[in-house]
Formats: sequence, C-alpha cells, structure tokens
Amino acid sequence: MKPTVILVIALWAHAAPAAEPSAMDFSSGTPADYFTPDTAGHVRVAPVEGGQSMILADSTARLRDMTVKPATKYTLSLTAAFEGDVESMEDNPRFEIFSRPGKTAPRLPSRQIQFLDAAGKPAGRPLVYAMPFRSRRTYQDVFHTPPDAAIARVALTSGKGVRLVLSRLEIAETLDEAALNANPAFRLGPWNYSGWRNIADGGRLIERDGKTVLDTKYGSTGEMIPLSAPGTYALSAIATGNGYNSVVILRVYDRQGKMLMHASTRSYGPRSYFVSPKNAAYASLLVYSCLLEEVRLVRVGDEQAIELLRTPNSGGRL
Amino acid sequence: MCLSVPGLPAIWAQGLARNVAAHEAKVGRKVEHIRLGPGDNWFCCQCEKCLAPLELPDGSRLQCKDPDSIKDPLFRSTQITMFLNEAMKTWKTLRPEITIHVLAYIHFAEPPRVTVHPDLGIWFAPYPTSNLHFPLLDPRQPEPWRSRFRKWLTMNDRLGFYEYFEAKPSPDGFYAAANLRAVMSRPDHRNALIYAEMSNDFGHDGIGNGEFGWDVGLMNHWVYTRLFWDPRQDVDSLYTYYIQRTYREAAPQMLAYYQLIKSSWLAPDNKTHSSCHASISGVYKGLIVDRGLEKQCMRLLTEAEAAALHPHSKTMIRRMREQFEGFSKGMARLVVAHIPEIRGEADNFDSLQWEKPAVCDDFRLTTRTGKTSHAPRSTAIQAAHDGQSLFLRFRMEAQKTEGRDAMVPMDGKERWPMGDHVELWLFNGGARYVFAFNANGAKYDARNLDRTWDSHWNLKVRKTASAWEAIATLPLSTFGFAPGKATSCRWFCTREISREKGESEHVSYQGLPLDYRKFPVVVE
Repeated sequence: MKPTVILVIALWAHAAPAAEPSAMDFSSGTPADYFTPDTAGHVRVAPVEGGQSMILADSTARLRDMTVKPATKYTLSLTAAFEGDVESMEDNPRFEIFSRPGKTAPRLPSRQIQFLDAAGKPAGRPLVYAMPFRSRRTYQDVFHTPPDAAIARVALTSGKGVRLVLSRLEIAETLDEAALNANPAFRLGPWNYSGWRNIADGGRLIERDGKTVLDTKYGSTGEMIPLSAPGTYALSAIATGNGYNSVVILRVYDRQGKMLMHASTRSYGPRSYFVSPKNAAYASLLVYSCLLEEVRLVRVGDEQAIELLRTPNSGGRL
Repeated sequence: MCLSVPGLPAIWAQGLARNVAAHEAKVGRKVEHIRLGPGDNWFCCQCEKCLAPLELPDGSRLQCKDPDSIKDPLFRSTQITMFLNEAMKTWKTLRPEITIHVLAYIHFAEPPRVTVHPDLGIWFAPYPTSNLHFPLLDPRQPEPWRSRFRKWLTMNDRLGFYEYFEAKPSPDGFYAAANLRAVMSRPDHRNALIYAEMSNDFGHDGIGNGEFGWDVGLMNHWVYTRLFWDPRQDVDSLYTYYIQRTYREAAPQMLAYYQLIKSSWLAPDNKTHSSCHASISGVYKGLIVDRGLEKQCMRLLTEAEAAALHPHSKTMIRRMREQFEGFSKGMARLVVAHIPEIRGEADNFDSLQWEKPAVCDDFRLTTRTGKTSHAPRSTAIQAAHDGQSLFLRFRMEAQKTEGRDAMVPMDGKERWPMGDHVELWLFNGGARYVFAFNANGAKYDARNLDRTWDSHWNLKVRKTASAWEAIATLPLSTFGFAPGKATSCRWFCTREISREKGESEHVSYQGLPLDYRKFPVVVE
C-alpha cells in the first residue's frame, strides 16, 4: 500500500498547475504558498530584518513550477544569506570558484533552475550555481529558456550544516540588454558568470579600470543563445588580445546540436556580419585569449539586410 | 575566392601577371617563381555552384561530401587543382618563364583526384598534425600524412616540401634525409624544392623565438644544408663532421652527447611528438628528460665546456647547456628527492640535508597580462622524502615590517590564513588540495576547498632576520606517492606579501594565475 500512496502524492505534485512568473517576498508566512507540497515541510518561517524569511536547513526545497516562454531571456533574482559553521566567500577568497557555473560544494547553498516542456519532460540543461556569500546578497542569473521550455522549476539546497535564509525571489523577463547573449558587458559584476557555460583554466572575471572584464584564457564557452529567426546577425566585441590566437568565435547550431557554421572576429570594436543558415536554432560563444569587456550578438535584419551593408551609403552599418 | 565564377581562371591568371609586373617594376628585378597557397584557414566558398559535383576530365563526377573543407578536403583540393590547371593555360601564354609553386597546405594537402599541370610545382606541407619525429613514409607517421605523401610522390616531378625546421634539440636531419630521398625516387626530381620556416633569428616569432634557437638547433641546420646538396649522404657522418669541426677539443664529449640524443630519438619506443606547434621544451622533455638522460646530458655538456679551448666552441656549448637548463627550469618540476638520511632531522631548518633537494624558486609577480616581472621578495620550495614522510620546505624572503596582518592561529579552529600567507596547491585525481599557512603558524588544508578534509600535516615555522620559513610534514602516501613511482599529481604555489603600508602583492610560480598551469611532481 505504501508505494501506492507515494505514487499518488508524486502524481499530484506533478499535476499542480504552474504559476506565472512573479516576485515572492514570502510575506504570507506559509511555505506551502511558495514551495511544492512535497518539499514545503522542509521550510521554516522566521522574521528577519522586519520581514518574513523562509529558512531551509540541511535540505532541499522546490518552488512551485512557473510557466515560462520558450527561447526567452529571463532573470532570476534571489536574495539570500546563510548561517552555519562553514566557510564562505567572506572567509576565504578562493571561494570565488563557487561563483562559477556548475561549481557547487556540499557545504554551500545552491540554486538550480530546471526547464520542462509542456509534457513535463526535461528541456535543455539545468543551470546550477552555488551561493557562496554568507551575508545577505541578491544573486542574479540571466539565462535563456530552451526553445521547447514551458516550465521553470527552481530548487534550492541549503548544503550540509547550513541554514539558508531566503528573503526574496523573482523570475522575470530580462530587460533589453541590446544583445541576444546574456550579460553582454558584464554589468552584473565580478561574481556573475551569467551567459557563460565553461571558463577555461586560469580564466575568471576580474576588475580592471573600474570595469568587470572576463579574462577568458584559452577557450571559454558561452551558454546557448536561441536564434529566433534566420537573418543577418552582427557579432562584435570590445576586448584586448591577451595571448596566443586571440579570437572571438560564434558557433551556430541547428536544433539537434549540429554545428552549421561559425563566425569570428579578431578585430575588436567593429561589427562582423553574417547570415545565419535557414535551420539555425542556437549560437554559442567560444573565446580565446581575450580580456573581454563586452561581446554582443545582435540580429540586424532579414537575410537580405547584409546586402544593404555592402552599399556605399550604408557606412557599413544598419 | 568563389572558384565557380565563369571565366575566373583566365581573369585570375591575367591579374596575377599584372601584379607580378607591378612588383618587378617596383623592386627592379625579375620574379623567378611564385608561391600560391591558402591562408591559414580552412575557409572555402560555400555557394551553391562551388558545392556542385565536379565533372572530372575522365568523365567521372566528384560529389561534395561536406561543405566543410576539414571534413572533405579531397573535394576542395580537386576543385582548386582544376581551377589552377585551367588558369595555367592563360598563364603559359603570359609568363611561361615563371614557375608557379603551389603550397599543398591545409585542405590542399590532400592529393587531388585529377592530374596536376606538369608545370606546377607542389610543396607538400604536412601540417598541422604530422610528426616531425618520423619520416613521412615511416609506419609510425600518423595518417593521413603517410598516405598523402605516398600519393603525391606519384603525381608531380616538381614535388618538394614546405616544412617547419625550427630549432630543436632532437637530431632532425634523419627526418629530412629520409623525405628528400623519397622525393629522389621520382624519375625527374631536378626541380624539387624545399622551403622551411626556420624562425631562429633574434626577435622573430616562431619556435625558438630568438637567438636560443641557434643555441640548440644549429647542428641540425648545418646538416640540412649539406643534405640539400645530396640527400644520400650518411646523416650520422654529417653530424660527426660538424661536431668535430665546431667543438674541436671538446668533440669527444659532444660526440658522446650526440650519441645520447641520437639513441634516444631513434629508439623505437620513443614516441615523442614533434611538429610545427610542438614546444621546443616538449621535445627536450621527450628526448632527454623522459628517457632519464638529463643528468648524463648535463654532465657531458659541462665536461665539454671545460674541455673546449676555442672561445667560440666554449660559448656555443655553454649556451646550449644554459638553454637546456632553461627548459628544465621551465618544466617547473617539483622533484621530491629521496633522502633516507633526512629522517629525524627534516624539521630542522639548519639540517645540512636540506642542501640536497633541488630548489624551485621561479616566483614572479602574478599577472594576467603580458610579461611577468620579478617578485619583490624571493620565495623557494624544496621537497624531499625518506620513504615514509613527505617534507616540504618553504623559504620566504621578507622584511621585518612586512606580514604584520598575518592571522594568528586560533586554537581548535581551522581558518583560511587571511593576509600575508603562502598557498601550495596539489592537483591529483581530479581533486584540488590546498595547504595554506603563514609566518605565525596558522594553517589550513582542504580538499576541493572542503576544510573538513584533514591531511594530518605538521607545520613548523620560524622567522629569521631576512625571511620566514616553514617545513611541512605529511605522510608520503597522502597523494599515492611512493619512492620512484611516477605520479600524475601536479603542483602550483602562490604567496601574498603584505607590505609595510598594508597593501598586498601577489606572487606565484612563473607569475601565473591559479589554475592556469599546473606543474609536474616527480617522486625520486
């Protein structure tokens, strides 16, 4: 009998309707208003700094599913702090590594964003980030939903021996960043690798002349960027060559992940134009030996737009 | 270039003739030959017509299997050859006296499906994945280079090479001789040519980057030039002649050195990769270090330098030895010396046993850009073991006014030593281990930055008038180390120096940032 009960609960949990993306300040004081029925019991409520906070200790809780648009750029903002006899970024500067994509630790809180299609099957790959700061801080993740995504599912894990204090969470469509790629000018600061999937050995975000710059070292790769329609695209970068074979490459893929073409630029500043193949679905950046201040992929028009760039009066720009 | 534009071969040939004429007028002399080749890329026209099947002269068709020239080089090399064959009809009417040499490089390294015009010269460029260690027809030469060369040998009487004869310590004359002899198998090889990049001049790019190329590779360069006169000469005799004439009284030692490297390089089990992009120090490693010849090699060069009488001979030997020492230092091996007698006195800073292990002291100011610069204070590491314990000794030059912010140890609390401190990183089996400590004896160890991991290490520190020192002791087996056993463990070290006014400077091995490079550990 017992397995049947569990199965019924699991099915019910899946059947729960997904909510529209919204901000959660946890003001109702009822975990079940925000978390899935099977995980809300892991969450306690406590007043923190004049408001309600949700506390998660030695466990994982999942927020209620949120509906999302496919192939759309969103920002997850999560305000949190943690307590416990564990290390943090404030205690150990080498914890910088835990600000990078996919780098988590058993004794650090983390957040995961998983995407599901309309049938409830996983879509794309989940995004996972640690939360290495002990003090209250708002983490921001700018990401694209996969082309078949219908639901975003956010899971929060406290880590061993950690009390994770959640103050606010919001998922919203990202304001225009004047680029298809996420966080194109690294304005989210030196601890935010939004838009990047893998940083090459020795690479990291650094502060230089008051700006956040990505030292890519040899071969850092970006997240997949959905290409909504065929057309003329512009790739541009503001960067300083920093070693052997400095280049910014954009690889274009079809829906199945087959690479169709690549565009590249070694001339940092001017735009480099290309026409995407008809069946192009994604693009991703691959950057070698750059101190990258900015990189932008922009759709400038339809497939014929590139012809206008060749006309003498266009000035090479659209 | 879109090769399918109607009439382009003739247009191109006419344009080339105009360019040649303009060049001749500019420099005031006649052009004797022209080299054509693709740029340093695999880009080809992707238009519909350029991807259409090729109608070959024998009536057959060649389909494009993939627009990407990396995946279907045969289609592209055939397409280019057909274009050039057609262009040659015009060219022969314009400047028949000028030979065109085609660089069989990148996608064009693949022999085409069609006959090459007999007046076109072909320079075969086995680039970038060939192995300069083995002759092109040697069974150990990786494909497709062996097959490609064999095919080219059947196709052209003006076959030559575009090679990368950068300075290397390996005796590369054997490679050059074998390939040249293969070309001589052509019925008519009088027009064979060889062109090689030899970027060894000071201040120039390329492997050897500067004058040291001459120091380690001059012997090869001389042998190549002799082989160009007659590749059938005995390579061994050429090297011997060069050594006797160059090093004179030191010839016996230098010949012994030559025998050492020749035996290593030609040993069937020596698989060292050497290529255009192979590092000179990588070849040094495969030729000498990995074969256990380093001490013998350095001894012979030292003896040769002492035996040399002519100042030029002495200088050349000295410079060769210094370059080898530089390669050795550049490898940044942390050699854990096997010193059984250090047991019981390893934690004694004044023990004479600490004079035995090699010193790693190439610490520089950490930088993410450009050239590194010297550190304001020296830092040095030594490593030793007695078969049971691993001992690591650190010496950090410092002034008394420095390091005041070094954290004081807290009883029972393991804390990252903020402020002035040293970090030794070890990378083993996918895990990152760090041992961080300071002059006050505060210490921290962690696996993947999880400090609950404990290596059970002991740390002893002392301060002197000009430095602070530390000796760390931990079980030799901690990282699977065993006497004489090869390990994949690698190391890196950084140091934060807090200066008098509170600002910090960061130094690291070779001035590199953490995780960029990881250096080998050798357990003797």
